[in-house]
Amino acid sequence: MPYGTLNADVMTTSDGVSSSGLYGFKNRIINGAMVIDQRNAGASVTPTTTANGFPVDRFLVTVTQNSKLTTRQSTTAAIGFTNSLLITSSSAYSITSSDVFVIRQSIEGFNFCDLGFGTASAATVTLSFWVRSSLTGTFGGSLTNYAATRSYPFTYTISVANTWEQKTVNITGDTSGTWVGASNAGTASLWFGLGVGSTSSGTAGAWAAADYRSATGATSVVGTNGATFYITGVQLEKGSTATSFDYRPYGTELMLCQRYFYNLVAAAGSAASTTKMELYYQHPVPMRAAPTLNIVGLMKIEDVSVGFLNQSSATSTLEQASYLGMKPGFGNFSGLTTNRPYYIAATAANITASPPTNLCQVSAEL
Amino acid sequence: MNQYKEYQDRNGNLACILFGSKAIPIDPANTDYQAFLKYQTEGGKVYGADEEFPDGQAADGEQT
Repeated sequence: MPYGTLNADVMTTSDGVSSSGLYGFKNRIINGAMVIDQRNAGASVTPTTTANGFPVDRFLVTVTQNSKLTTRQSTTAAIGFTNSLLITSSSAYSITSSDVFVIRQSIEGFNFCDLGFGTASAATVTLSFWVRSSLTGTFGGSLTNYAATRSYPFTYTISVANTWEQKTVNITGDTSGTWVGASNAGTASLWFGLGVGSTSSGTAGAWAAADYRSATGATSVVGTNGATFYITGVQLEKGSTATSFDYRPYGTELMLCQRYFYNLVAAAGSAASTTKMELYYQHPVPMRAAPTLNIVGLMKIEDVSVGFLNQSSATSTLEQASYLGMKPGFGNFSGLTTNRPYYIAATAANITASPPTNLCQVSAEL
Repeated sequence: MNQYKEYQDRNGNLACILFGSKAIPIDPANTDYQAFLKYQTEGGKVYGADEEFPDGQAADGEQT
């Protein structure tokens, strides 16, 4: 095969690189290789029922019971990858009918609308990923619309324990239901089940007008204490053929993630009062929507004539906010001089700490 | 228990929603603001920025 092959769905070069539809950016999943982790820098996350966790950018882990699993970015990866998302079961928990332990990535309308879901011309899509688990058996997941009123449960089989295997799932396009078109709203969600009860599980291989997060009968990862589940190389693409993973430059992947989340670590502003600093700030990339601010630790600012100052307790305000920029305020300081310049000053140690601390998280996630 | 506060700018206009250490923009596309609207629709109480929460009720919420 010296010159590669070409068919209706895919062009494959002689050394195995393939492209679906002959275009780049074919993967509708962001950070599918799990390389970007702005929130935790590789630290472990324990999601709770009131505080879901992002072990890596864009992938959310949600639970309906506390203390049943931990999750983190891992450097154990399939050949050709450097990272994966790791789930570790913390107990041997028997799920109830209403339990839902899942990994989720939701997809923005702008990045999915060309597939025509919800119309008669809905395109077939193909999901591919690499998975490794201490467990074997049939596992499940689902593709849903963002409102979770349409679901396509799927299954895949892990044949050998603790061994990387690539899985492929073909999903016929959904001709029914409400799928957001070209907009910044969520339109679809991809779910991987880690233990999903019967209420949220459905028959694999068909669209249903229901909220199913996995397939009936799938293995529960949280059912075995200490069980591990790794996943990476997640790709969702147009067509009926799984093609080679859509590697993007690290900086490009980071910017794609920053449309949904970034850490605000350095900026200049001035004191609006003796206790509050305000600034105008442009996001590093245009965000999906006006973002939420969340202080992790305490904000630290610098007065060049005095030194560093810390908040007494975490607080922030948004005087103005849009997808392009914002005017945040950080209060609970003392002794500021009104109108004097101050600088947000997260240090390198703050940024590279695992997890990063004493900074402001900026989120427009789905 | 979730506790939301409305924050007004210096002109008295609603500028954002405060939720624990979060500041949530007034943007229908923001999922935290969508959660606030749902909470409000279900009859949840919204406090003024300077109001104190009742004893024993701390703010909490999902990680952003």
